[in-house]
Amino acid sequence: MSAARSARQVPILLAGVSSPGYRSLATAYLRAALMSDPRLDAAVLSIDFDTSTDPWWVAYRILALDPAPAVVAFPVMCWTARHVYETARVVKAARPETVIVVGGPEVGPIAEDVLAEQSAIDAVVCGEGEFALCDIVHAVARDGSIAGIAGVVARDGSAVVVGEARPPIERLDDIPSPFSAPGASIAVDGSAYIETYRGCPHRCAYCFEGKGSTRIRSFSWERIAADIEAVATTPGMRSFSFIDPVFNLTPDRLVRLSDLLAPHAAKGVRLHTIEVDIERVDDEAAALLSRAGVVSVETGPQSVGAASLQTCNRVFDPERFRAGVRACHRAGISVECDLIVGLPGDTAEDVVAGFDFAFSLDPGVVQASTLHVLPGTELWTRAEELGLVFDRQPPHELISTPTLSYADLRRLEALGVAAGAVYRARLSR
Amino acid sequence: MIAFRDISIGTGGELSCSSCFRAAERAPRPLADIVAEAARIVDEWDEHAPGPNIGLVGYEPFAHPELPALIAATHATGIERLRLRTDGGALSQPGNAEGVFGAGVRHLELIVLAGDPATHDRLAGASGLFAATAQGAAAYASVARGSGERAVLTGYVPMCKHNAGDVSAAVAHLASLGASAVQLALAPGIAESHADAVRAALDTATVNAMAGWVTGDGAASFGVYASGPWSAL
Repeated sequence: MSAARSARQVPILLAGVSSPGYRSLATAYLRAALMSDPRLDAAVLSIDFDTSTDPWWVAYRILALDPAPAVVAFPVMCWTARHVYETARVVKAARPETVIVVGGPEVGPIAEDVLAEQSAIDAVVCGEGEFALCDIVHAVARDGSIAGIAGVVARDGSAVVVGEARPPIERLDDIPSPFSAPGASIAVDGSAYIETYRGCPHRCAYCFEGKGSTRIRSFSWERIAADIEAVATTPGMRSFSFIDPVFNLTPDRLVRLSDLLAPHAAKGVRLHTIEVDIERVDDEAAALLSRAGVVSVETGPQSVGAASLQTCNRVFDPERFRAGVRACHRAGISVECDLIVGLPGDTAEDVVAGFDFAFSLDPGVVQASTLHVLPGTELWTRAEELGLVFDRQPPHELISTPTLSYADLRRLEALGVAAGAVYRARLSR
Repeated sequence: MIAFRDISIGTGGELSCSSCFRAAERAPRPLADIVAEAARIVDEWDEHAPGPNIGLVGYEPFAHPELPALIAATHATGIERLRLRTDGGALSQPGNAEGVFGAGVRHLELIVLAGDPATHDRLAGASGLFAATAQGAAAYASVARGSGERAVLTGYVPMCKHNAGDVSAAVAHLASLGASAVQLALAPGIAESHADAVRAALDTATVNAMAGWVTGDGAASFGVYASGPWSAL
């Protein structure tokens, strides 16, 4: 008897709760993994919601499903956590037998705390979820315990069991593509994202992208090419993006990506908000980006204050930054400059200097946001040492720093919003 | 922040406290002079900086006999952002909000002296102006929303000893009109004599999610509050 026939079919719901305008790539990966696992006879349904939908209505959609899902899995970001927790609470109350699993950067680093605070959650996946969730579903299908699975922190009765750590997936190609699974749905409205590698070369203290390591794991070029082909040739595709934290990771990589994307760019497919190290963009790199169909890039400087740059492990060369922006502009590429208000060490004058610098570039878009101290980041770990006072509840917004009072932060937020409004209200020349 | 160059479009005609300022003579500036100055500004503008951005100040624009031609000609010099400083009363007249918006004014700076009709109109020396300003702001905002394009409403509050106690209310009133920022233009001596009132007004801006900043005499004493979302060069 095969493993699939020895276990019951398990209805699974992957509930992707995202900020408006975004769509969860995580659920697409999870779906592909579940459908590819030979051990499973999984009936997988994915539904995307955004945070503008009341959690009670999300719960309504979930509870109305027939057959009822045995497992409901939510990827969780700091922006969506409260929404997910509320939804889970209602679902669990209405149907206690539902196994509710969460994963993602918001919950993985603080899994035990999540289970302690959120009684509706049965398990937290720590780290990459594709194979861990498959193991959970396999256990549910066999009516087995989900406690003790590697990479999973789960309830076992009244106890919480921490499974052994699951190492990062070495061969990313082992992860089924989210774009080639049967029934895969690829958005054509600009909310489709491709991932070509995991990890980050930087160690920015406020960011969880690198998971504490600068090690990069890449998909093979064959896989990358196949994913690009699948997304770019989706009927009606006009624009998509990449979630890679540094698109121009190396010059050679940029050339290869440009080569793969150029044929689709020639047919009108565009790439938006591609994240780059702008200080390494010269005319040659900008031309490669433009050839690939890039119409907008996203970059820092996040801050121009010397103290915060040092604390956050960032480097900043204003002249190289400016040169990169101009190179993009010469290639017809708009630049979104991001600023974070409240990085440790920044004074109000530093924040205003950052605004002044970003606007002086006339980049295209300037986006400022207040620091959120995220679980698993260096700032989260060092918060007490650095004197960061922040909301322990998601989305973990900053309350004060030794150099910026609560009032300072509110004033600077208002200033950034107002300046952004003045900047955006312009006539085309 | 974002630099603007202000051009005076006349003398003696900008709304201000009638107890402090007695306009000796109100005179609009000739159209050709204004446009020539605008063209010069555009020609000298740093091509890499946001802009060119011009503010028309110094005289109530709706009292300028050539306002439509003035806006059109200024726009034609190649500016990217055009700001109009006005008491807003004439915007409540049919067609004016549509006219200025259609002509390219995306930044409206409303002059307000106080937060209640009686005080404002007394200081302005113009009965009914407070209500007309509110109607004008609403009309402009409605036109902007309908167009789908971005427009910005900010406030300009000249602060003197006659309205120092009313400036917080003026700021709150501007917030109710949808202003995203407010500039407190300090008369000489106000920074020292009424510092608490200035800070209270700036706090009122903050709690209403508006950027508040100060200009004029003694502005630097308010530290980072001397920085606003735009600066007039």
